[in-house]
Amino acid sequence: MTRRGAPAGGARVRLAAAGVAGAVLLALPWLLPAFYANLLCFIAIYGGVATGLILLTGYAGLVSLGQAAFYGIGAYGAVVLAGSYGVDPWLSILLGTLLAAAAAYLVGLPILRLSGHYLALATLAWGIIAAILFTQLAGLTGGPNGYTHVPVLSLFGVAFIDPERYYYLTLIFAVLAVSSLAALIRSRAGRAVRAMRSSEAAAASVGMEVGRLKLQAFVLAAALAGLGGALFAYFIAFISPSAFDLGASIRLLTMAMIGGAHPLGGVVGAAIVTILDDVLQNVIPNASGQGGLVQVIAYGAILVGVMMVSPSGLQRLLSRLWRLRVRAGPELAAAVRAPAAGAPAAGAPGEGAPGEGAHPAGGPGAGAAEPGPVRLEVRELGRRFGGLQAVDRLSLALRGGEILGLIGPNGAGKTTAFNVISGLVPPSAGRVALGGEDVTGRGAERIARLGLARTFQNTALFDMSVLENVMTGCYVHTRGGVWRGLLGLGRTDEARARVEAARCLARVGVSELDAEAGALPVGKQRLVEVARALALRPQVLLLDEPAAGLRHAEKQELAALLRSLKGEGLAILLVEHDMDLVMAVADRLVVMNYGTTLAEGAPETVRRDPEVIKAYLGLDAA
Amino acid sequence: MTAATALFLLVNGLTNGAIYALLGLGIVLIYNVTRVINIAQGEFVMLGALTAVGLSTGRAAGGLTLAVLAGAAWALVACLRRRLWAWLWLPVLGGAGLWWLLGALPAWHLPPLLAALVAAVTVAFVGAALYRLTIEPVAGAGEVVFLIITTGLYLGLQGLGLLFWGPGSFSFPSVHAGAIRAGGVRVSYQSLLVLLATLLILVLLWLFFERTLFGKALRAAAMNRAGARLVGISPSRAGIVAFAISAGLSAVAGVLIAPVTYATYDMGLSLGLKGFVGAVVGGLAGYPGAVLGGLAVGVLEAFAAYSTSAYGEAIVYGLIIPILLLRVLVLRRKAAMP
Repeated sequence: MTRRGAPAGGARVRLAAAGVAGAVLLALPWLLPAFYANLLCFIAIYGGVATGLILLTGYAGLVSLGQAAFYGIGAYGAVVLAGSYGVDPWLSILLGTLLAAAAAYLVGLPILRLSGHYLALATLAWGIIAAILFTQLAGLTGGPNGYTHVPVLSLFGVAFIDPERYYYLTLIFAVLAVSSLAALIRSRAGRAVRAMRSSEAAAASVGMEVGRLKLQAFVLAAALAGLGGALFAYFIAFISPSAFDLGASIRLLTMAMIGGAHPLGGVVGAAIVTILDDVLQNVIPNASGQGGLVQVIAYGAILVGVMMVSPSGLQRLLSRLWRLRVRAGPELAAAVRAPAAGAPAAGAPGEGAPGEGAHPAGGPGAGAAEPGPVRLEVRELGRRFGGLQAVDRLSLALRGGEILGLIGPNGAGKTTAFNVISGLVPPSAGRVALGGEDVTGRGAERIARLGLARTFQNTALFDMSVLENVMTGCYVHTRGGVWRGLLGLGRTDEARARVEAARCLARVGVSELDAEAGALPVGKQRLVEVARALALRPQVLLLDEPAAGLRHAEKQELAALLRSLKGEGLAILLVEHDMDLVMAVADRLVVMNYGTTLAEGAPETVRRDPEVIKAYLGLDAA
Repeated sequence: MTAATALFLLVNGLTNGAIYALLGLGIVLIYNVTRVINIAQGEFVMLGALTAVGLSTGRAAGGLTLAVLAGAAWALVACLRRRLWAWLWLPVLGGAGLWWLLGALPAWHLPPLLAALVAAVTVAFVGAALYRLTIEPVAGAGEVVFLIITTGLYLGLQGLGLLFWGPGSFSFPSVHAGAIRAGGVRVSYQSLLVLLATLLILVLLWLFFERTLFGKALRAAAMNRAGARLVGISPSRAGIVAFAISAGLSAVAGVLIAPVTYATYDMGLSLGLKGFVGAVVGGLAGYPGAVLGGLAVGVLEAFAAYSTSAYGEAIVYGLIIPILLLRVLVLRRKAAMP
C-alpha cells in the first residue's frame, strides 16, 4: 500500500518492500518446518479477527470483552449449516459471517448507547450469555461435547485439509482484513471513527452520525470475527464451546492491546500471543509440567503489563514501519495557492474556499455588507440542570453578515447556551430556529448539517494531524461511508477535502499542516478549530472564546478574519472575554447574567449600561 | 410452585444474595474511591475461601505464598521509588526467606474461625498490594485501562488459584451442621450465619464511614479526588485502604459461602459479576443500594434457576445490559454535560 503522490523514490522502496513481504508470506509454509504451518494458520485467523477488534477498540475506542461470541457464531453458524443442513461449505462461511454481523447489529443497537467501561461490561455479559447458549443449545451445537460433522472445504477437487494448503485461505483472510482496515482508517468514514474516539461532542458538531458510526464499526468487527470463526471451524474440523468463552475473548483483546491502533496491530499481536502460547505449552511443560497454567497466568500478567507500560501497545513501533498519515505534499501547497475552478482567486481578504457557494449574500467588501436575513433565532431558551437554571429565557436573533457578541461574567450560562443552540444539550424550554427552520431538540449532527458550525471553549481537536482535523470539517459535504472506505474508493472526494482543509488553514494563518494537533500551542489549536468550523461551509458560526491564548498580533489577525467572514454574509455568534476584540468586531452585544438576558444593543450603549457595569464590577461600581 | 417451595427458594436466594451483596459492597467501595471497575473482585472470594480451606485442612495455603510474593514486590517497588538501592536485597531476600519458610513449615490445621480470620487478613493485604502494584502507578489512566488491568488480574489470580489448589472442589466446615425449621422450610444455620454476618458487616461499615475520621476521609476521596488531596488525603492511601477493605470483605464472603457451595479455583468470576449486577441495580454508588441489589439478584437467580434450570445464569447476566442502559439513561437525564 503506497500512498499516492509520495516521492517516486520512496514509493519504489515501499513497493519493493511490500513485494518482498508478500513473497515471504507466500513462501512461508515451505521455508519453515512442517509443524509451523499449523501455527501460521492460527496466527492468520486470529490476526484477522484481532484486526476487527483493533478497529473497534484501538480506533473507535469501544472495548469489547465479548468478541469471542461473534467468533463463535461465525464458527457454529458455518459448520452447523453445512454439517446439519447440507449447505455448501463455501456458502456456509458467508452465511456464518452474515449471522455474526446480524447478531452484532441486534446486540449493538441497544448496548452501544453505553460507553466506556459500561460498554465493556455489557459486552462481557453478552459474551458469557453467548457461551452459555453455545453449551445449552445442544440440539444444534452438540453442547459441551462439541460439534464434529464438519465437512471438508474443497475447490475444483482440491481439498483444503493440510495446513500448508489451508494457510493460503487464512492468509487471504488476514491480508484482506489488514488492507481494508488500512484503507478504511484513512478514508472519510475512518476519520470519523477516529474523531469520535477523541471527542464525541466535537464529532457530532461537525456533522458525524456518531451512533451509526459506532454500530458500523461494531458490526464490521463482528463480521471479521465471524469470518475468522468460520475459517477456524473448518480448519480444526471440530469445535466446542470452550473455544468461544470469556477466556477466548480476553485472548483476542490481549492480541489487540499488544498490537495497538495500527492496521498491522492485530496480526502482530496475534503472532506474539500465538507463538507465546506455543512456547508456554510445548517448552515449559518439559520443565514444570504445568504449561497450560503458566499460560493463563502469563496472559493475565501480559494484559496488566501492556496496560501499565504502554496502553497504546506497539502502535508507535508499527507506525514507524508503515506510516498511514495523510500528509500534505508540495502539490497541496500549490493547490492552495492556485485558484480552484469555481472559487474566487485566493489571496485577497474575504475570499477563499469556505465562502464558495455557501452564503450568496456576501460580497468581497469586508464589513460593508448589509445585514442579511435572520439565520439564527433563539426564543425564550431555557436549560435547567437539577436545581440550577443555567439558561433562562434567553432570546436573540442573528442575521447573516452580522457579528453578535455574547458576553457576561463567568458562569452566566454562555457556554451552556452554545451547547443548547448547537444541539449537544437538549433545551428544557424555548425554541431554536436555524435559517427559518425549527431545529429545537435536534441532535448536534443534524444541526451541523443545516449549516451551523462551532468551536469549543476547551479546545476539542481530534487526536490526528492538523490537516486531518480540518478535513473532518468537510465531512458534511463529502460522501463515502464505511463500504467505500473499506474498498479504498472516494479518492477524488478525499483530494477535494484536503485542498479545502488546507485553504481553511491558510485562511486562519496556520501553516503546520502535518503537525499533531495536540502538539500545537493552545492559541494555534483554537485557530485550527476555527478552520475546522469553516470547513463545514457554515451559515452560522458559533465561536467560544476564540481569542483566549492568542498573542496580540494574532488577535488582530483574528479580528480581520472575523470581519472578512462577516463580509461574506456569515452570521457569527461570538463569546469572548477580550473586550477590546469584542468591541472592535461586534455589531451588537447581548449581555447574559444568571442565564438570562441582562442587556442588548450596540456595543457603546451596552458599555454604559449601569446594570451591565454592576454585573461585571459589583454593586459599588454602578 | 407451592408456598413451601417459594419460601425455600427465597431463603436460598437470600443466602446467595447476601454473598453478592458483600461483593457488591466491595465493588462499590473500590469504584467510589478509585474509579476502578474490578473484574477481579470474585477472585478475592476464591482466594479467601481456598486459603481458609487450606489453613484448616493442612493443604497448601497458597494465599499466604501469594501474600508473601505480593508483599516482597510491594517493598521492592517502594525501594526503587525512593532510590534505596542499598536496601534492594531486603525485600528480595526477605521474600525468598518467607517463601522458603512457608514451604518448610509442617501442614497447618488451624481451627476454622482462626483460619477464616487469617485468610481475610491475607487477602486484604493481597488486595492492597495489587492496587499498589498495578493500579496506582497508572492512576491517571482512563477507566477502560483500569478495566483491562483488572481483567488481567482476574485471569492471573484464577491461574494462581489453579496452581495452588488444583482443579478440585473443597468444602469448609460449616459453623453448625444443623438447621432450624421455620414455616415448613428448613433453614440451615449456615444460611442464618451468612445473613447475620452480612448485616453485621453493613453495620460495621456504616460505623466506619460515619464515625471514624479515616472513613470520612475515604468518603471525601470518593466524592472529590482533587478536593480530598487539597485537604491532605492521599488518594493513593485511600485507594490502598479501599482495596484492602474490599478484598477482605470478599474473602469473608468466600469463607461464608464455602460450606454451602464448595470452593473451586474458578468460582470467582460468576460471583463477582453477580455482585456487580447487584451493585448496578443499587446505583453503583450507595452501599445500602448495593446490598439490596445483591439480595434481589440472589432471589431472582434462585427463582429463574427453578423455572428454567439451564438458562438461569444467562438470565442473570442478561440483566446487566438493560440495567446498565437504564442507569445510563437516568444519569443522562440528570447529567450536567453530555
